[in-house]
Amino acid sequence: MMAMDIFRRIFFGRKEEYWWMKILVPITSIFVALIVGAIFIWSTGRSPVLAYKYLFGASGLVPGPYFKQHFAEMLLSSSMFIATGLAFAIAAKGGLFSIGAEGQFLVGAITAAYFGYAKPFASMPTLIHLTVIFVMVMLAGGIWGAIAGWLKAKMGIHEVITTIMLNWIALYLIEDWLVTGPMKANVETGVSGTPYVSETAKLPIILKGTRLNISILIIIVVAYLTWFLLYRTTFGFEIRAMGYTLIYNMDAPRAAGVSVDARITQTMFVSGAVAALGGAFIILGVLFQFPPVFEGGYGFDGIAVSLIGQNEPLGVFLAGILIGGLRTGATAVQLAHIPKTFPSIIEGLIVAFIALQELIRYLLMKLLVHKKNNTVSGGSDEKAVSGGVAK
Amino acid sequence: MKALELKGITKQFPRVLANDHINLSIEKGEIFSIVGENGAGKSTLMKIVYGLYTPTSGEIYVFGKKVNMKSPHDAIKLKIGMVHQEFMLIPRFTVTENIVLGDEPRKGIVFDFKRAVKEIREISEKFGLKVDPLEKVANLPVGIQQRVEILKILRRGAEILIFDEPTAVLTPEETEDLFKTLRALKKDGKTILFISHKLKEVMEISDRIAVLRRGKLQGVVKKEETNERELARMMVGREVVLEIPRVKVEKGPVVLSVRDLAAKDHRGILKLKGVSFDVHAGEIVAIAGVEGNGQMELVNSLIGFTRPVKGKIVLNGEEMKLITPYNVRRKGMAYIPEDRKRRGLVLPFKIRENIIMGQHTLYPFSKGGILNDKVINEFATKQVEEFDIRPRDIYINAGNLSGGNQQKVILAREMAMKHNFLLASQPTRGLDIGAMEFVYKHLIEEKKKGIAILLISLELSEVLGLADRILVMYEGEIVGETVPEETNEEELGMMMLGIKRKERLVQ
Amino acid sequence: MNLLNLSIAQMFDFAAPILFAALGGVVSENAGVVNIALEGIMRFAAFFGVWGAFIGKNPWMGLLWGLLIGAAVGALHGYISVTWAGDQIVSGVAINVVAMGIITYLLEFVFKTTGYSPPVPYFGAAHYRVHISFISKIPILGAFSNLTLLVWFSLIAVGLIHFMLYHTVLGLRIRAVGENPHAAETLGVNVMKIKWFATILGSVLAAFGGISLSLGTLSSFTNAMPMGKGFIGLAAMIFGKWTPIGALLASLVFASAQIVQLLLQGMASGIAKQIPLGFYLALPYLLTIGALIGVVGRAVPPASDGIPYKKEG
Repeated sequence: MMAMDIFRRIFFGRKEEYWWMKILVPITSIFVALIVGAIFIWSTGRSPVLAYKYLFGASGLVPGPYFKQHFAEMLLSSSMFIATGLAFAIAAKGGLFSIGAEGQFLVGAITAAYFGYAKPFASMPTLIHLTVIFVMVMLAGGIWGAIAGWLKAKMGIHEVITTIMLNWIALYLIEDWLVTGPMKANVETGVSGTPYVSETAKLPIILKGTRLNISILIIIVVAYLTWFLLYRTTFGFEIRAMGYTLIYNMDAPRAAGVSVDARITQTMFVSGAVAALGGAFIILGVLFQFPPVFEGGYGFDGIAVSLIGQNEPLGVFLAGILIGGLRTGATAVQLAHIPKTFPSIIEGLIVAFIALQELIRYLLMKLLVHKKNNTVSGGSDEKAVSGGVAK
Repeated sequence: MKALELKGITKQFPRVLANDHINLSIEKGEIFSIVGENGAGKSTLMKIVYGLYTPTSGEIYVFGKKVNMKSPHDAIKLKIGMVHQEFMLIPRFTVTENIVLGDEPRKGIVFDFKRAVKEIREISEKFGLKVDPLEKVANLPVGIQQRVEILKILRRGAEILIFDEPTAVLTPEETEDLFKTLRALKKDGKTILFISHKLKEVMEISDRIAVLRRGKLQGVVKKEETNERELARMMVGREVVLEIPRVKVEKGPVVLSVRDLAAKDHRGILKLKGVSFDVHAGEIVAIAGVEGNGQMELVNSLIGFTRPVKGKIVLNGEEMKLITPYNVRRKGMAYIPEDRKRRGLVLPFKIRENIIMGQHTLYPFSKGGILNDKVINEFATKQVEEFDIRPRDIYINAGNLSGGNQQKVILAREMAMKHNFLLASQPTRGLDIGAMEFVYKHLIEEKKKGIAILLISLELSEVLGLADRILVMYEGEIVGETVPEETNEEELGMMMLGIKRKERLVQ
Repeated sequence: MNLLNLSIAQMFDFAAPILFAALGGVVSENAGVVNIALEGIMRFAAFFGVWGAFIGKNPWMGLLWGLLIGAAVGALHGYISVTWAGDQIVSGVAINVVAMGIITYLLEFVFKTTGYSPPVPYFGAAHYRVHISFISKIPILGAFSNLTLLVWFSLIAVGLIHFMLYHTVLGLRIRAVGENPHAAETLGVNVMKIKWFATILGSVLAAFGGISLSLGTLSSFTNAMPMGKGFIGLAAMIFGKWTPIGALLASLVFASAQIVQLLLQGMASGIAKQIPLGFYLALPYLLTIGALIGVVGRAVPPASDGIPYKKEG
């Protein structure tokens, strides 16, 4: 029990009754989602056993044939999900419901592509070149995010609207202008999309014989920094204070001297910058150019990843690994005659059961805690406001 | 005839025994008060009577019949109505819509608004409770909102009316109006349950009084056979001093100087129309007035929530150009807000976080933008001890504290902040005697330290007890200035209603 | 038909799915239930509509299937977020993600294709349209001479929902629940029942939107559907300040921005030809933001919107 206690102290502070529920609920959700997914496959006349065998066999989450390759691919895609997941989580902690990671991801990707091939930069040494690229990427993504923040703070326009609109604007301006216009590769080279980035812009490989590059290391650092930012800095303190008050339209942080309007814009900047990192990862580590047709969706999956991870940096990291694994195994499920979008059904189901955590908590409590009082979240005379904050 | 009988009512919450075998019997046509400190179990008991809570054990008889209520719906059917402490109103709806909701006049599926308005007019006439049926509730003063609540339950034919802390949000005039209404209802044969911790009011209005302490019934007394002091002792369990001690402090230099300040409210209506005054070090200046006469706009201008339309604010000899909460706080202003849940605290934040909010960017709580948890915890632990915040656990969420303890967290924070001016806006709003005493004690401490204090209050006894100087506000202007020694509640009341003006030369 | 009438008619075609989604949001959020699952519900309905029309060999069967699946998915959202007071946003995201995966799966399972379904009977076909020939020559009014049934439904729905929300007892109660469920509860209103009703109705409206996509002017399901139309509908709802008529205007603003884009692109000559396609495509979204900056102030949602309701005691 000693080890458990230390674990609890590190991650949950003190004195939370049934703190282990915080871990057990997501795990149960994942487990139940897998069962429901199996029932679904079985109902369409295919074999769930085979499906999961292929899915997890190629996911890089469990050892098996070609584990090294799968493991590398898993981490490669996980790093992108974690980036967009963290982006959502940061905004959510500040009470902002940002759907904008998709657009910020694209902005990050196109910026990385440009600074990856553009002449004056392409001749720099790798370290400097990558630094320049990442600074520009985060700046561009940050600005794209900050636009939505600024529009909310100054004009009072709901961030849901602006982030949706900005996603589309980013998509069209990039795909139907930049990539086919100013940034088009030379036709004679036979390349469609943008030119390929220079060698110095490619992320260094860290596992020989695979595509695994330093993106996973970068995102681990970023996840840690996000946690640090939220819980150890005054800026994070203000974001979290704002998070509650924005949703319920309260003024306590403002009365205490927090410049809420500025924090909204800044929070969205940070969120956008982190999402854009994901875009840089895919260009500098996987595609090496911005292709004519970009298969997106990382931004939207980021929302799911963040929700599965309860909007906490560590949770987002673990959820990102899981989703990255499921996506890596996706192509393999086709061997069981199951469409490769099957993992997204699982992903959605996990989120659904996360939403149903009250039910799961209730059932787990009944199952595991034998106490006289069966009320889990007891009321008291004083009306306490709680919950509803983690959105 | 007995209107209501409670036999052995017990309510056990997971961690608290809120009501412990309560026996009460209330006669038809009497005004029966239940007093007790916050958390004594008054509200719980009333929620049981109104069907919002089910008792763990015990029996309820209404007009002699044993009942078993599962929801407010059952209570309404039994002709029990309740005016809640936090009004159950929908600000965006009209008075009519609020009153008829749940029992609407209709033509088929269509809501018959015209008939509803007519009904409201009739019922408002019948009980002498004047309201404009077409006005939006959001635009009404609190006293009228309460009237809407009362009409709501009367329309449902309520015979037993429960009032949960009805005067907590009212001005003295509104309270007087309410008492007139209560007496009229009593005459009409209605039974009234009056929940309060304001003993003066209880002594004024009740026939009989029950005292609760920590969930237990301490006794039921007739009004004629008791007094405030005895009730206070029964409530608190010890002798309580209600008087505020007078402390003389040598007046220092001017700390805050306000000149010709005017401001609009959030709807753009000019509510503060050019006020000027000074507050000196070691002085408590009280702004007395009926709520809604520009106090809120004054507070908002001073703290930086509203940009004044004209005038200037000089704090510590420096004219404030860009007034933001951040700037004024750096210039030495502390602020006890009127609404601690909305403006004072972040409810899901822990005590340790709330207690440094506003100072969190300053050394030693943080350095270079990075928080120092060790210092924060030490500070929080020290303050929790010093300000007697219960429970003594800095990791508990502010939302789980009682009102009094929430206010203590705010005091602990604001007092610790570097300041020489304190803006105390209704600092005892909704607090019980014990907590009020505590707030007074700290305001006087502050004064002794030479802090300049601007006290905005609706309670005349508080104004008269604490202030060195009293400014009376009416319709956005200062209509009178006086000192406690030269005035009384009656005179202040007249000034507050704009009937009398009084100028006093500033020495 | 002249170009003006044609453009207006086309604008209504564009607007219908967005309008249905926005109306779904209006109904649901007025009862305090945030439904960002609109997107997912539209996808479900668009596919099931085609599936139904394919099996029944007529679009009415498709409509029925689509609405039924919409109600079913709405019930899931209700079960999670109303009955169990779960987080409404999380539930909505879950439904959207599930819709993404499950429909692709079913598309392959049912039609053995990956991109799109085979063509099926649809409401855009000439004999399912509402012909009002005598107005066809009149400018502007003529635009209404040959609309699809679904477009008419969407316009009628605006009126019906406006009537329901603001003139019926049910509507009063829906709005009361969205503003202050505790107040409604103390007056004996069955909060849970109202929230369930609004959630299901809202989802069925979104399902209409999905069907407008696949059986309106098109006659098949494509796997990209609904291409963010649900989210645009959500934006239109906020833009329209949570009212049905506001939602209609917002949808029309958005749809007309798309028409302007098409017209500009089609007529472009000289310098306008130099403007890249991307700008034209991004135009409607830019215009929407511009409209929000210029026209609308702070929009205030129903006071208890999105806050899970739990009974006391």
